[in-house]
Amino acid sequence: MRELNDAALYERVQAKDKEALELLYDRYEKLLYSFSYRIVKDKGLSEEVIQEVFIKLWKGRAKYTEEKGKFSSWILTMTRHTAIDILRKQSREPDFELDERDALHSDEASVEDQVEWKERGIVLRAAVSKLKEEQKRIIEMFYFKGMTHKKISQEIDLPLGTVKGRIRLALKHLKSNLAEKGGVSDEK
Amino acid sequence: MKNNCDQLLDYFNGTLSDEEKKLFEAHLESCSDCREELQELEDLTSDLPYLSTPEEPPSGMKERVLQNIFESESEGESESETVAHHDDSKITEMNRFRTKRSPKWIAPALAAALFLSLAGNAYTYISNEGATTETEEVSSLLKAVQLAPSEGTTSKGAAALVSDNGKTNLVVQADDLEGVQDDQVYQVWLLEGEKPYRAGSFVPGENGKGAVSYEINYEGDHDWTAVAITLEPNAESKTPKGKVVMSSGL
Repeated sequence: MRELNDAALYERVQAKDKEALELLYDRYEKLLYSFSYRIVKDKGLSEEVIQEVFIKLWKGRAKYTEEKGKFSSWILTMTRHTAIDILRKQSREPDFELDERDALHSDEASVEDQVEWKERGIVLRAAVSKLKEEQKRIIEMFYFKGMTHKKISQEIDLPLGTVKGRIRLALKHLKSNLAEKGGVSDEK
Repeated sequence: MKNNCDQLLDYFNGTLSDEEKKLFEAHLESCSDCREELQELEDLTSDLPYLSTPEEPPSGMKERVLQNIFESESEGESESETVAHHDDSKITEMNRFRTKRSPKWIAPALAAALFLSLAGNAYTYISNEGATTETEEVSSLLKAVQLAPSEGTTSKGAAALVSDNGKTNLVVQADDLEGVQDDQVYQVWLLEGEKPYRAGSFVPGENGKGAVSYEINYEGDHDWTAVAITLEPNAESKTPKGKVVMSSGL
């Protein structure tokens, strides 16, 4: 239902319906901002990411179709790409590791959607905490810093051909840790 | 040529150039391995965004973001139309600049240092009385923006890029400026990406108003991305030393 609504709102945005854009904005502001912040580690830059994402939406520069899967996944991906892009332009390396620090903040989520997010976060962090340090690091470099294949290979001193396998392995471990928690995963 | 399958990770991260991206997408059509791996990556990472700790967006962000979007929209779709309206060349009110602003609003790629000192404030609107008459003979207005004050300041201003006989001038006007001491000046900067270029300086009068018209005479083509005003210790600064008083993307 919710995803249907998102897609319907997106259609209205394409027809230049300002109210629809505002509704989508309200719905995703906090998640996208927090996700951007997780990547760029700077309030001003995170705002810049949000600005770009919604401009792309409004101007139709980024096209969503239902074949692309869930709207939420699509807009999260677009946000991640935008954030990575801005990060690269700033060429500032946020000094951050994927670790328990994520769990230290108190969660101020208030909207009901954020309850789900919070629960998901708890399960996820538990799953992350079981990963080996190297696996945390590789996920951080690949997913949250958006480093290139080549850069990752240099950072962890592995041949180019091995990097992809390591990333997949780390992600699969994470997914199976999640499955053990009876959490989000559909994988055994 | 590089094996396309090796570009999967960079494609997933969106770090390929436009051309590489197109080529890779063509490759995807014919490579079922890559399609499967891409799908797998998407599935495996679909939960990761929720690992982000909820952060409170800065106050006023929604208003700024939506205003920037709708503003850029209402100013027309065709960029060329906004340039060189001879009928409108006699611009006496800075307010009118707003409606002539370039529609191509892009999130300002300010230098990181400048950006950090930027305000989380909404745009300010300059009053009519702040208008200058310097622009009356302008033959075409290329771009005009309101300057947003940085946090902790109440100054406001406007900047316009105007073209006259093949020369481009940057006209800046500001109100409610704090007075200067010793050799201090307000220095205007044009930013191209992260690189600042000097673009005139001025000292405000007792009424806190100041203005400067600067002929941009830097060699080569420049794509100005932002304009900012800083308070500098003297008129000699080659790069910004003082804090940003107000700024705007271009």
